[in-house]
Amino acid sequence: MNPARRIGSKVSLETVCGAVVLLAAAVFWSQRGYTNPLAGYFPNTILLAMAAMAVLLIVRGIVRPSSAEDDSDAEAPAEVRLGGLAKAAVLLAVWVLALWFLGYLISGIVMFCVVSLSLREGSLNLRNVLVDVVISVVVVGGVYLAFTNLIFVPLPPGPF
Amino acid sequence: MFDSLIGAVAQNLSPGLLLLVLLGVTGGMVMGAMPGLSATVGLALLLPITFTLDAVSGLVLLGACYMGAIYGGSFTSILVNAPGTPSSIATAFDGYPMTRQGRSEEAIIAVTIASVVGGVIGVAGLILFAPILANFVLNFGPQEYFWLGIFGLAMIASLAAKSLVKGFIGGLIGLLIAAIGIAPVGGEVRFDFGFTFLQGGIPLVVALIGFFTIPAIIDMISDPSARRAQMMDEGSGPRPSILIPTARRVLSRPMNLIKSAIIGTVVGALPGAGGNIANLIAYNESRRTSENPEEYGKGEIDGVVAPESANNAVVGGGLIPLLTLGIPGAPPDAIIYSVLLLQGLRPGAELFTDQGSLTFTFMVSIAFAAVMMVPVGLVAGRALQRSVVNTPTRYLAPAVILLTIVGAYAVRNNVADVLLMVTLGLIGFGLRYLGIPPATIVLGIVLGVIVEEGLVQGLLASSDLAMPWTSFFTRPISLVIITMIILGTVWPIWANYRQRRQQGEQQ
Repeated sequence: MNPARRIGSKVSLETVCGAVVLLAAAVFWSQRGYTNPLAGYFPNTILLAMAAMAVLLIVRGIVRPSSAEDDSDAEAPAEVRLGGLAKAAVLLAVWVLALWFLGYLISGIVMFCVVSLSLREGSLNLRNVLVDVVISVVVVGGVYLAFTNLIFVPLPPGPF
Repeated sequence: MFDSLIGAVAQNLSPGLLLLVLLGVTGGMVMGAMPGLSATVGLALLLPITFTLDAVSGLVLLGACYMGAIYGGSFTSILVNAPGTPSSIATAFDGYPMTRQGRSEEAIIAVTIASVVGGVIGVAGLILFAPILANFVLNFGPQEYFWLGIFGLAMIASLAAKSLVKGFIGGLIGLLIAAIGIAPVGGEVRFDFGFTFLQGGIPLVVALIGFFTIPAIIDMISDPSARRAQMMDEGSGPRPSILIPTARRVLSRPMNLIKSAIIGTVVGALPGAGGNIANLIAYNESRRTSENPEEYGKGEIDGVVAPESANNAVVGGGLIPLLTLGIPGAPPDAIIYSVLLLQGLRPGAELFTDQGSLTFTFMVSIAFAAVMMVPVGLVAGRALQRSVVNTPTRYLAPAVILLTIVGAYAVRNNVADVLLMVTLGLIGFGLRYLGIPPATIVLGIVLGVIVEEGLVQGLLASSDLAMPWTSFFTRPISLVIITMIILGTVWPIWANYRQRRQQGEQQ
């Protein structure tokens, strides 16, 4: 059995998936504040269907875990590297936060450089850092100027 | 009509109009290739320029830009899993896997041919069948739109044939995301969780980039060596030209091209449907009738041909209700409509008689724009493809993040949308790990609005009946679509069952 298809040693991925979907449906169900029945037909039906399918997944995962595991989807990654995933999530989150405070241009130059340096293989030296700084300034500056001055698409303004 | 057509062709061959077509296609292609900057943005940017041009030139420029933008949307869809426009969602299903297999150039050539054929057939439909199709689409009520949306959702059976339950859960999650924001009837705000920016709902572009592109970026950052290994075949040294073999392969299955283009023309003629839905339906139909349905989603060339043929046919199809009835089918059509009105032209029968020369020149120019995509696409498109393939991951990943930020921010000029995009991307990555295909979620988001509006408007319109919901099952066009839904859902399940049984017998 593919180890990536199981979380822990006893709970099947199918059961986890069902539990997550059931939780999401419950959270949305608790947020129903609409009073007009026409506003509720559609989301209520979806939430009930989601809950039913989630229960089906949980039951299937418990009763027939082996057949549920075989029912894998082609798009699912074979293996998730938690370290890499955490690095990507942190970089994206920091970039968005920086965007909020520093604007597109400054956050873009800084984060472009940080991401490119973090993806470099081997040890870092001054030359590599300088090359990535120059490329960051040219690429981000070029994109910024093209959007703001050429096709007049506003971008998040900076503090200055 | 024949004389008008000959005159229109002659006029389109003038250097001035050819130059406008070239500029329009190139500019549109660039705009379409930027995730988040749709054909509508491209046309809106050109609007002030058309004020300085005569009516024919202005319309020709807009038509060419529209065609180019729809085509350009396929590039980023194929190369970085970021559909430039919602019309290219289905292109990513097989286009990105082709890139990961080192076959991105083949995909670019295939979509170029498909776009040209689709574009020309869409214009042919516009010229030959405009009055008939215009009358046909007038028979579409909310019930038919509801079933059309459900027909699109039936595609889940194709996208997730291996795990139907998870596929349907993905579709339901998408429909739920589409329900966030203001209800179509009554105006109540739903599921905003106390956040003001959620009151307007989750924009399609933000969700599209989030679910498709962010997971691809995470893959690049978390395992950069994987991409390099995938690209090795394509990026290393000179290779024999694949232009002719690919063209021959695409054209050897003309039914896939023609059928998809017809779907695009008809769906494009339906106001409110457009390329977003046409490309999905064409992909599903292509897979359903293919001899190799199991290859779809893994880099099947017909899987990029069908949606691109359909979405470019939408350009011609969308002009049918616009030019005959004055009903813009999609936002870009509304911009073209505004130019018509500004030039003192009123859509309707008179447009084809009193202004026949101008109207036919405009319609034929869109076919010229489709043909112009061959040189522009094969030069600029392949140049873009080669530069993306040869760019090291350490620069490509941050460059893609830069563009996704622009796309998400440009929708409402709100940084919160960028945060929303990243959040949805992380959720999409997690759901993908759990086996829920992101494509099914996006499908639900795209179709959620049309399904809910059709449902509640249909119920309201039939409120005089004792059981209003019966109106969804008694209208002739609805019954035809219901039959297609049953066929579309049952067929992949039956094919899957048959395949498994054959495999069992062989063992």
